[in-house]
Amino acid sequence: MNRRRLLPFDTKEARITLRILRSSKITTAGLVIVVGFVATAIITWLTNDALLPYNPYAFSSHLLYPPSLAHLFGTDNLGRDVFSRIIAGAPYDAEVPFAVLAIAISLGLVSGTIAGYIGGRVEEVIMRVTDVFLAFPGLVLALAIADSLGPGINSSILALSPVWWPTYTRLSRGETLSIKSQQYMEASRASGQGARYIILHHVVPNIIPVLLVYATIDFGNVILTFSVLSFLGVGAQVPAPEWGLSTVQQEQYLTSAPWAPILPAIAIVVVAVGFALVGDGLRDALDPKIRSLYG
Amino acid sequence: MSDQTLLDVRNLTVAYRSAAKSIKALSNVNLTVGRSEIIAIVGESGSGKSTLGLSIINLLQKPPAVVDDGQILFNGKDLLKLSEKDLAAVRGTGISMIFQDPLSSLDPVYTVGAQISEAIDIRERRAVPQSPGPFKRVDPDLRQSAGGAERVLWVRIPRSEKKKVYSDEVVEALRRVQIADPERVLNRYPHQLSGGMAQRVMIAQAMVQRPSLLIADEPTSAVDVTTQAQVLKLMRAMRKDQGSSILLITHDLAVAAQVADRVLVMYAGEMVELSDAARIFEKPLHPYTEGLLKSIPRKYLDEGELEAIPGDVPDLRDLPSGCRFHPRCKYAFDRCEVEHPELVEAEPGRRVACFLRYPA
Repeated sequence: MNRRRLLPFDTKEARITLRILRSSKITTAGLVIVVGFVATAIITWLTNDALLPYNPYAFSSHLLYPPSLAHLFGTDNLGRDVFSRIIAGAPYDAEVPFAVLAIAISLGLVSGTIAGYIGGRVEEVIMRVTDVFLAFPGLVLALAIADSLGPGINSSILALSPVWWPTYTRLSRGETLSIKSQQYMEASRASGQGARYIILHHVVPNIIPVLLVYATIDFGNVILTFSVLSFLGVGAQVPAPEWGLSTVQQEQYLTSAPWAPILPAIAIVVVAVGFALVGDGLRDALDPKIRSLYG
Repeated sequence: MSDQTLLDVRNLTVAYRSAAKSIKALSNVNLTVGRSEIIAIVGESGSGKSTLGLSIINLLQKPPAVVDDGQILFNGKDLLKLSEKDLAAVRGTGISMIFQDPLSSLDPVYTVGAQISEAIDIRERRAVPQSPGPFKRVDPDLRQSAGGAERVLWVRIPRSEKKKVYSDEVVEALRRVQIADPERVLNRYPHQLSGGMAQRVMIAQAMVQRPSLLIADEPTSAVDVTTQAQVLKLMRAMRKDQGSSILLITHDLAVAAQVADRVLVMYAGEMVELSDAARIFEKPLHPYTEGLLKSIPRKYLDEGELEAIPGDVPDLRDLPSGCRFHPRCKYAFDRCEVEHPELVEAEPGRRVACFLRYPA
C-alpha cells in the first residue's frame, strides 16, 4: 500500500535523483569524489592492500623522495610510498565517519522525533540529557571516552558517537516541531492515526532528507575530529596509514619534504569538500517539488 | 437523548489562554446534530466557528486552548473525557474533518493513492478491532444474506497484496469525487495537483472511511466557483449514500443555503441564531443574520449597493456589555447595552438570541 519513499530506493526514483545531482557541474564533481572515495575504500579493504603499487607499511632506503614516476606522491621519512599510504588510509577514513554518523542519526532521529512530537515532560528529559552532552567540549568528551576504552578504530567510533548524536537530536526535534504545525499532521490525526504511526510514516520521511543533507556536510568534521584523536594518540595507531595520523607524523618535514605531510591533509580536505558538495545537491534532489520537474 | 441524535454539544465554553491574556473563543454553545443531518455553521472570521469544529474532534492545541466547561456527547460518550488513544479510535471512522487549505492537508512525500490507501487501511483495521492486520471480506454478499447483521467473515491480506487490493477502491473513490483519469492521478504527488483536485482528494480520503460525522472547515473557500458546486454536491452525496452527518463551517451564507438542513449563526463565540435553512433565508430573526443575508451579492437585485454590516467583530478579550452585537446593530435599544440576551425559542424549531424576538 504505502509506497514508502524514505530513500529513493526503486530504480526509477534513483534515476531521477541521479539526474538531478548530475544536472549541476559542481555537484557532479562532488559525486565523482565521493563515489571514487567510497569505491577506493571498499576495494582496498576487500583486497587487503594487494592492488597498491607498494606495501604501505614497508620501509625502504628511499627516504623523503620527491614525487616522481616511481613514487607518484613521493616517499615519507621512513621511505614508505605516500600514494600507497593515502589509498590504504581510505578505509579508515571511511569507516569511522560512516559508523559515527549512522549511530548519531539513528539515536538523534528516535529521540528527536519523540521529543518534538510528544512534547511536555518527555521532551524536557530528552533535551536536558542532550544539554548534558553538549555542555562538555566535544573533543574533551571524546578524548575521555577514547582514553578509557583504549586506542583503536572501534573505540574512536564509540568515543565520537556520544559527541555527535545530540546535534542530530536537536535537529530532528526542530524539524519535527515545524512539521507538527503543518496541516497534514492535523489531517492525519483527524483521520484517526495514532502517535506512533504518525511519527514513523509522516514525520520521519519528511525529516530524513534534512538529516541526510546535514550529515554529508558533517562528514568532513568527523574525519577532522578523528584525525585529532589520532594526533593525540587515542585514535588510529602508528603505523596505520590514516590520513590525520600521517599528516601529524610527517609534520616536521613540512618545509623540507612538504608532500609527506600535505598530501594526506589534502586528501582529507578533498573528501570533506566532496561530501559537502553532494550534500548541497542532495537537498535539491530530495525536494519533491524539484523532483517532479525531472520525473 | 434520542436515537436520532448523533452529537450533542452541551454548554461548551472554550478559551485561549496565555499568561498575559485570555480570549473567550466559545461561550455556552449548545448544539445537537441528528443522524444524516447537514448543519451549516456561519459567521465572520473570529466568530468561533473553527474553534467549535476543532473542539468537537478534539484537535484543539492545548495549551493555549482550554475547555472551561461543557460536554461533547458523541453517540452518548463524552469526547472531552476520552484518552488520546480512545479519541484516535473515534477519529476517522467516527468523526472526520477536512480543512480549509487542501494543498497543505496532504503529506508532500506520499502519492495521492498512498494517502487514500492509508485511510482505507484504518477503516479496514477497525472492522476487526481485536486483530492487528489488514483484512478483506471473503464474501461481500454475506452482509445482505445475513439480513444486515454484522456476520461478515474476514481474512488477513498479506502486506504485499494490500496495495493491489486497495487500489481498486482508491480508483473508485477518486472517480466518485469526479476526478478524471483516476489511474493517473493515483500516482501524483500533492504538489502536482490543483487546489480543487487536492480538495476532492481530501474529500475522497474522508469518504472512504465512511465517518458518521464529517466536519468540513471552509471546504469551498480555497477553490473556484465551479469546484465549489462540485464539493457541495459531494457533501450531499456523502449524506445520501453513507448516511453521514455534516457540519459545514463557512462564512458564506450562499453556500449554507445550498446544502444545509439547519443553519447555526455564530457571533463573537456565541450562538445568535439556530434555525432550519429554508426559513432563515426567508425571514432571518436576528439582526446579524439579516445583515449577513443583505451582504450576499444577488444578480437579480438592481438596487445599487450591497449593504455591509458596519464595524468589526469585537475584540474577544474585551467584549461589549449586554448583547455582543449591539454596537453594530441598527435596531439596538437601551436594554441591549446592559442585559445579555439568552437564546430563546422564537418560533417552533427556531432559536434566537435577541430581545426583539423575545416572547411578549
